[in-house]
Amino acid sequence: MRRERTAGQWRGGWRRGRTIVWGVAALLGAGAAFAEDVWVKAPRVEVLAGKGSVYGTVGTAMKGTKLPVVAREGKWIKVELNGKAGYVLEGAISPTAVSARDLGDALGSGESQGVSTSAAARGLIPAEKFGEARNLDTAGLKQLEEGRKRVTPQQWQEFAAAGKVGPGKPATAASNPPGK
Amino acid sequence: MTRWIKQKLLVAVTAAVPVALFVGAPMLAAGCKGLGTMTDAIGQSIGGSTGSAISAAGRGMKAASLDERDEHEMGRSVAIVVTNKYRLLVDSRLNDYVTLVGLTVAMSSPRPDYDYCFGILDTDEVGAFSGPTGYILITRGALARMQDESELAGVLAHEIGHVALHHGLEAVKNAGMTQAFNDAVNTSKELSQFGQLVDGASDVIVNKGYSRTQESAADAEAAKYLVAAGYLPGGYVRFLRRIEAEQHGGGGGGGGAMSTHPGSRERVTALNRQLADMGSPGGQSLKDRFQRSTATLRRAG
Repeated sequence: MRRERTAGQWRGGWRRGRTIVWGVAALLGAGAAFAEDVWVKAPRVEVLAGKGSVYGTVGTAMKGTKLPVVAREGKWIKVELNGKAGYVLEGAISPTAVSARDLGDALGSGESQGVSTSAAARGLIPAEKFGEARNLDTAGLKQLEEGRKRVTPQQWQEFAAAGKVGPGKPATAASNPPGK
Repeated sequence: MTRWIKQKLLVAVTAAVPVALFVGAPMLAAGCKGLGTMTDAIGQSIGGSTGSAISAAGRGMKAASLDERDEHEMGRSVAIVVTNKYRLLVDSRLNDYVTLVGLTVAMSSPRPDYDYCFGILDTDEVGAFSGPTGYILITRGALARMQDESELAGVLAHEIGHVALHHGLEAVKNAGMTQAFNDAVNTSKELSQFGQLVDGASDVIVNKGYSRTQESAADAEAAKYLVAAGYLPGGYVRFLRRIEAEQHGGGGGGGGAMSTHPGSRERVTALNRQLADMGSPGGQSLKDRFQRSTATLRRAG
């Protein structure tokens, strides 16, 4: 047997429905608020594959680039660049939009020259050209850089773990005064 | 003969422009000025540079907006100059070890994002250098006088401290190099301008060195990085004391740069005070690992 709703019941149902609608809207709004973006304020930033250069990079973001924030982890901000997650230091980004044209802050003088490229983009001299012009051998530089590439992130992690050193491994209380 | 070299490689560049440079820095334990023959050799190849005016642009050199690629090329260029004066030691296992220790400290510093490179200069002299974006070189002579990994970590931490504090940039600015940098950037494809900047920056670092205040600041940073990385910070103090003792004991460390920079004792005192304030932190010294990893040095020596 079908029960007829009273006017009060209808009003109560309407209120509940309205509450649900507002609740959903609030959740959607909150979701939008969590979708944080940041902008690159340095002329260019290497987005690192981990929290440190030892992990390599996932890409480079130029000044003014908008980066969706995935998470904040201390001084590191995990962002997305071209579909890949990576890390940047908070000092290299801005919470508000940055124009790629405004180099005033980069100049440090408060002057804007209205250019959108860094000296690097404009072709500041690579070290090899400097060496060539001075008739200097660049083999040492190459040796240095190849040496760095030999060390892998995994190797470093194992090295740090074996010695119980590395980021997040604060020293313990000393049994002897320092410098003795 | 042992000589505590304090060299500074540079850094510099700046900010005045979109590019900016930064950092660099040198090391060493002792003073900051002339480094004897090593220094002279470098200085001769570099000619002094330019200069003038430390303008508003100069004041902006420490601004965050530095183009790291540009700075990187500065660091690479300085590394070319140095490695043409001092041969790099060819010992990949030993170099990897120094790199691993250096990275451990660097990743615990405020600038773990720099692309650090570590190398060993094949000379008996005692010293270390650092250039923009973390091109850090330590001498075989310095390694040979160390006893454990915490001492090596300490010296590298000092260099990383100079880098993080932009001391190289300050040195260039103070030497009136800002105009050279501006010229280099504004005429971005002029090799002569860029070369002048590299030369001048290297000259500042190598011949003039950092101030005692900067050395002390780098020491203070080093202590913090060592603690953050879990190394025994007292190891660095121990190494400084050993080098100072060599100088005063006539064990090869006297004369040269060290004799003009009698600040090691003061630095040791300041470091001990800082560490006491920090609660006398302990940490890893890793003597066995250091001895194993550097065994080739003792066999060769």
